[in-house]
Amino acid sequence: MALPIKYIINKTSLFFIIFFGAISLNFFLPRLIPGNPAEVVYAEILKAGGSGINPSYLHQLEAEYGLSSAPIYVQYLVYLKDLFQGNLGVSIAFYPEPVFSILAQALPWTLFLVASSITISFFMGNLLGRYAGINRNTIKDLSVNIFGMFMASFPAFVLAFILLDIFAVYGKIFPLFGAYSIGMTPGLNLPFILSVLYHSALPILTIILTSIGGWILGMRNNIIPNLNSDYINYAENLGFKDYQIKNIAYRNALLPNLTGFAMSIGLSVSGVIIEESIFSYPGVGMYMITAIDNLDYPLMQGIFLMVIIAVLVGNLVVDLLYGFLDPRIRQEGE
Amino acid sequence: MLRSENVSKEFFMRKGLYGGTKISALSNVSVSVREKEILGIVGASGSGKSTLAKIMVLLYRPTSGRIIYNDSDVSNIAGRRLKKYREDVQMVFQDPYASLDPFHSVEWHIKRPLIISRYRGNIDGRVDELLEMVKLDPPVYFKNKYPNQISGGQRQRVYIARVLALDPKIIIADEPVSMLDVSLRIEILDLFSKIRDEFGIGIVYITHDLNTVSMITDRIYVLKNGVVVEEGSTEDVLANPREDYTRKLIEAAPDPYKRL
Amino acid sequence: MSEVLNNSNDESVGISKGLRHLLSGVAGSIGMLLRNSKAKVGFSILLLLGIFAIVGIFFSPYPPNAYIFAKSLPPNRINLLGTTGYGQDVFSQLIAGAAPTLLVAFSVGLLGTLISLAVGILSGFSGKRVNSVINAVVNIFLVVPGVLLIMLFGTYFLGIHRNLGYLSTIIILIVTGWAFGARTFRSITLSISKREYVLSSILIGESRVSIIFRQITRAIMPVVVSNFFFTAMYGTMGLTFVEYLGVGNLEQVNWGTMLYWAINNEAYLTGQWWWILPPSIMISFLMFGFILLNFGLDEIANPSLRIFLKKKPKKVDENA
Repeated sequence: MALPIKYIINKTSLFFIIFFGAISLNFFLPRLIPGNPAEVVYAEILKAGGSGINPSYLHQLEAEYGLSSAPIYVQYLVYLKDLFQGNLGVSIAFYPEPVFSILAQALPWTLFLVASSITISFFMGNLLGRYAGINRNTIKDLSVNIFGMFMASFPAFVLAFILLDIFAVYGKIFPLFGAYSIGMTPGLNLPFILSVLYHSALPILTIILTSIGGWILGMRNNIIPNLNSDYINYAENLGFKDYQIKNIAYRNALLPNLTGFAMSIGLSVSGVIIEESIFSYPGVGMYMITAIDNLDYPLMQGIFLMVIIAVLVGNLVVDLLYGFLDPRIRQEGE
Repeated sequence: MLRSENVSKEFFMRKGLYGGTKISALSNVSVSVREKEILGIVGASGSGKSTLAKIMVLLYRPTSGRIIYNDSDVSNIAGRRLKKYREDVQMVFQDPYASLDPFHSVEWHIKRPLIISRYRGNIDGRVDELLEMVKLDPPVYFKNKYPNQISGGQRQRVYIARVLALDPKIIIADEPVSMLDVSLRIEILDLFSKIRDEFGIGIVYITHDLNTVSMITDRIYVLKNGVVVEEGSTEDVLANPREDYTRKLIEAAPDPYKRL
Repeated sequence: MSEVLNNSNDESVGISKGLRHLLSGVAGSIGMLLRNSKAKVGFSILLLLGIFAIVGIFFSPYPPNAYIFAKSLPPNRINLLGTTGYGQDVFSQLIAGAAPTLLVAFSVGLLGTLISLAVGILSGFSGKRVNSVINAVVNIFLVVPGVLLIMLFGTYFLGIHRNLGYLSTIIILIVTGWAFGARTFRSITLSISKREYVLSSILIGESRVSIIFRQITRAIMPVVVSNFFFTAMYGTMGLTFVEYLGVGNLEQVNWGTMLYWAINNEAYLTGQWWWILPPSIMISFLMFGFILLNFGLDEIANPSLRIFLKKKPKKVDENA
């Protein structure tokens, strides 16, 4: 079987275009700020009563930003060089911790939350949407719909607080913070894995609840026209069994939802980043709030880059999978 | 008057993920329309006849070959010249349910071409005239209707009136009656004959149906897989088809008179 | 597409008429919408919130930002919804904060939709090269998580101005929220511009501008209205995000800043439900109104929407 080379090249080049767009935005936006970001940050640290800070640090900060009298394209090249060496600078809020090592600890937790919640939400949402679509215009359909609409209308982080309140503060069923119990050493053993699952249950549940509505409604609205279509009529007349027909319609309704899957990665990363700070989950989101509060530009830029790389890779993988699943990707030359 | 010279058209189609394939829709097709004649272009589906229609109105451009109109090459014209050309060469689509804008009234559809072509007379009067011409009588009754309020046959008449508003020299009709009830087909075809007789407009009638072809056309071309396989006066070709393909097409056409 | 559409036409008189068409289209869609019961409920919700907001502009029981009460009082006769941890009256904040919240939601919805519509139609109607450039830009904004952009642009605004007004909040939200709509409008424009009635107008000699204003915008009006609701929902949620992340102006009173302060003072841990629930419920109420309207729209428009979505894939003839 020949590989779909052209498709892969298309998607991969799009990947690099977006990647360079994003890192360039990351480079230029702080430089568009009038004045010197290093001075802004330095003043900010002084104001916060930062200890161990002296004027030489200002020069160090300027160096961190690659701010020099050098022309902008040289700065840009230096930025790119540093980037590919994994040198993301030193955090200001967590001085003198390098940004890269902070993110190396935080990113896996975020990815874990995103990957598990998005997959569960996708499958459950599609199944619920299928259930609603098959029982269209019945009380079952209506209740699934209302559930979906209600969940979609709730501000995600308020839901997080309510769940935290009910299950952690008062119910004491789930933990209040952290990714695993204090004093545990991470490792591939059962108690640790159970502890991780236990700590991630509430964050994951929240993200599932707030994102499931879209899948439910999308699947419902895709499967109904499919069930009404000529090919299903034909299959019925050929004597296919009821469940077979539903499965055929479901499979065909699933493909458009799969493109949505790639798109939803960005959205659920947003959700996860917000949730993490609420559940005090040691992912990227927790650090991001600190970074914004302290105008920690190096940390913010690092977060921006790492998350975008992760999201882009996720998108690429989904796109490539989709290419294999849908043989109809087709284009006319007109 | 209008002719195609060795026109070929290739489409690039991506099949699945395995790169693309070139599909040749037309190869070296040469047809010509004479003044005031009704020309038939006949072929089964997939024979490239719709592509040829779209090339003739320059919605598609030929991959190779030329379109000649009044002795000048129009294959690559654009802008003002293209607009001018399309005032002369118009097209009627197959599906009258798709070719009228559902959000606009019958009157709008006929008024727009008059406004665009800067019609000098009384526009409202001309709209009425055109509606009467295509036998949508009384015009007042139809003018303010929307496409979904009238029947398929009436829609096709509205479309023909829209085209006539530009005062064209040639009308290319791509399967104009295939979506209509059999009883309505003959009326629309009569309308085309009348348009030719009264205004001297050349008509290219594209179809798969040899019965209707025999009713109105003077000459025909038979198209098979993008190649012209037979041509000649309608009578000759239908009486003595040289190609197997043509014979099959003739056999496939239900003969309305046989049953009577 | 460019090949098909490269006839230019100097006729531009009709544009104002086209705009009138557009407006009548909006009015028509809304009129049609209100015949649906779900949409009616959604509309009533928005109407109620609107009245609440207008009242709030002119009247609130106490100055919303004045620290004139005891801290953290539960609801009582003087403070209908209790007081905040700083001694402000919660109900006064709720009613005074309604107008700015709705303002952000509606301006993001309206401006965001207009921008996506312009970009989407432009891209759907332009040549291959322009189209792929627009497509790449849209994809960047789609793929990059909105929160990151809010962070980036928010801190940028923080860097140039210490005080963030609503304008910058609205700008941030439009920047992060226009791309979804642009993608939708692009694909719908592409599909409509291949329809025969548009081809017919091209053949008749209609200009691009005329086709866009008279025909395309008219045909996609239900999607435009639906996109407005979605973008307004994004604006509502986005406002809470902006405030929650602390890149907005936290001295302003709106439902987003109310949540920020309640959360920052851990109102949920100290049992001050009267501080955190009212703004949450109002926000959900607003979102629910938009969702219901969207649902109603979907029910009405689906028969015609299906024409866009359910385009039969053209079979390639085996012999061809």
